[in-house]
Amino acid sequence: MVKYLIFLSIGILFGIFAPEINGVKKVKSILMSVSVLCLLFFMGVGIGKDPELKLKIANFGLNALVISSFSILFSIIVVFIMVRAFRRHQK
Amino acid sequence: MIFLMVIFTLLGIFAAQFGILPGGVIGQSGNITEYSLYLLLLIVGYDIGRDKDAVMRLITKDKFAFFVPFGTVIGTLIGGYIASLFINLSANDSLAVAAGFGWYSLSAVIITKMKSADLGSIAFLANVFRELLSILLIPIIAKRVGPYVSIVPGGATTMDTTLPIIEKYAGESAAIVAFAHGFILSALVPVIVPIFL
Repeated sequence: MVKYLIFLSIGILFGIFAPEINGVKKVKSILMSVSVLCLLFFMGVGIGKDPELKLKIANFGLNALVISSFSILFSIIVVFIMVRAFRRHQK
Repeated sequence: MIFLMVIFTLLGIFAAQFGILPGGVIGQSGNITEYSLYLLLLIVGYDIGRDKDAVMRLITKDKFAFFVPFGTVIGTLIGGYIASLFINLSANDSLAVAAGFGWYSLSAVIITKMKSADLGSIAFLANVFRELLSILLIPIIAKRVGPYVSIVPGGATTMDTTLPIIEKYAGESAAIVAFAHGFILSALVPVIVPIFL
């Protein structure tokens, strides 16, 4: 976790202090797309390398899907209400 | 881009599951993921540093966004409890699984050690599903509901795997909040999961 913070901080410092160079935006955009796809592909490999994945999905998939769906749904609802309440309070 | 992202994730899962990739590549997948992440964090950081308005907006107008992680925790636990009413699991087990906040490796290990391999498998899958659903939902929620709400589905992964997606679709202010959100939730996983076991 600390490593992530260090890399993010180095990036922020670069962003603040590095001079504007022509063409950086385009290179950055390509680099970002390629590394996101690379990250997601290998994240998928990390999930798929479990030899029992199919068995787990067959046995427990539905329970897991219900828990993840409800967790996401209710966290969205709570934060949506929170954000609206704060915004209204600010006005 | 969103379809490409989903396709690449599924391709990775299938390629590893059906042995299409060489063993060496599969063995190195953790390292490759880690290095891609470092590169992405540098780029996301660079964008944040470049967009000084985003930082100022967050400090002066949207300070409340730093309370988003607490909303995510409360909402996730409510969701975990309500899910237990529809499935064949006790409320505590369902809450422990939900409290993984998308960090499938750690939550599955904790639950397998403290409770059972079966519940550990459910935790692994539920948190994998949370991460996969997040990749799909973040762009849609960022566009239709709002940037800060789009951070929520990612749970603990918003400091790493889903951070570049949030930055791309919800902007730099949301990326700053997303990193803090992921940091706080990741720290809470080993604390909250054992409480329910």
